[in-house]
Amino acid sequence: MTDEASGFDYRRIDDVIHGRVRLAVMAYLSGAMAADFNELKAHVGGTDGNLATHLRKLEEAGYIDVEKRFVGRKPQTILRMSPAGREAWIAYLKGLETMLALKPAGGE
Amino acid sequence: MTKDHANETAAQVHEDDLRRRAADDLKAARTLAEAGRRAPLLGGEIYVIWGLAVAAALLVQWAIVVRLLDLSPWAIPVSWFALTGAAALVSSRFRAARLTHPGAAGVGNTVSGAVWRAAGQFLGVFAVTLFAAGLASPFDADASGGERGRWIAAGFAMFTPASFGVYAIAMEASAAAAQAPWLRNFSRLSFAAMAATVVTAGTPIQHLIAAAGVITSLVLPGVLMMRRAQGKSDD
Repeated sequence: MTDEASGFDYRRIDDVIHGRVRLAVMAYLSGAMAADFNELKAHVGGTDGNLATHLRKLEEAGYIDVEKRFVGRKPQTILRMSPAGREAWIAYLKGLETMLALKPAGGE
Repeated sequence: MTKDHANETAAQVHEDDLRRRAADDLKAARTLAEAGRRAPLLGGEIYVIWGLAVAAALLVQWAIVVRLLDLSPWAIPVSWFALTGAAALVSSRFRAARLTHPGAAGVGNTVSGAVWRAAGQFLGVFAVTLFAAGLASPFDADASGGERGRWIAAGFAMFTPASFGVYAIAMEASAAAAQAPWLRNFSRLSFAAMAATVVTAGTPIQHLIAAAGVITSLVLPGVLMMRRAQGKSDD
């Protein structure tokens, strides 16, 4: 769908990323490369269940890789942004930048 | 106000709202990306443990060489293996604990861990090979072990400066990966210690200078790293 007033194509905005929690997860992982679940929760917020649901959506889209391992006897979940996720993230940011850069219709 | 004009105004308000939300999203994303990028460097404890162990081994070596300690020259390799072995054992416990710390999987700590692991392997293989070569071609302090023995002795004398060079490279890489410019100062100190230990190579004073160098270029940044990591986790 294209906004006729601005010429902006809303399909450029990736729905998988465009949610508050998923956007925050992608943003954090774009800087950190990888993080464990608790670290991510501390920065992104939300409950364990809520965050896990959003992470599953990102994993299903192939945007993040999930590694489960044990450190001593403690289970640990490590999340990494995948190459496909990085591409999607860059495309998402470009979409937002385009939205911000386009001049309003008739505006100068 | 005509109907077309009202529609145009509504579209404009909608677009402004979208822009404002996009700007807010970008700002929040940037803040989070920076938070992810700037996870504190971990492993200060490992710097301190290895720094203290190496400094102690260097002091023991100096004390034996100047005969302050009346021990056989064999006490030198024994003290090195004992102290560095103990450091390896103790630091392995801290290394495991580090994995659960926030930021451990981040780019800075991953790169730093990899660089220091390779640095440690290089120094370990260098030291053990040199020692083995020394056993095969015995030498003593007055280099009476022949031509090959003199080369082995020179290798030991140059092992110390090489170590400082390796520390400096590892710290420079860690500083770049973790965006920790403060660590670069210690990399420079390490290069200075490298130069000082080249100039004094083959003399007992080299061991004292090296011990001081290890304290300033490993133990000190280790303590600072621990304080910074503690400060971040208290935030």
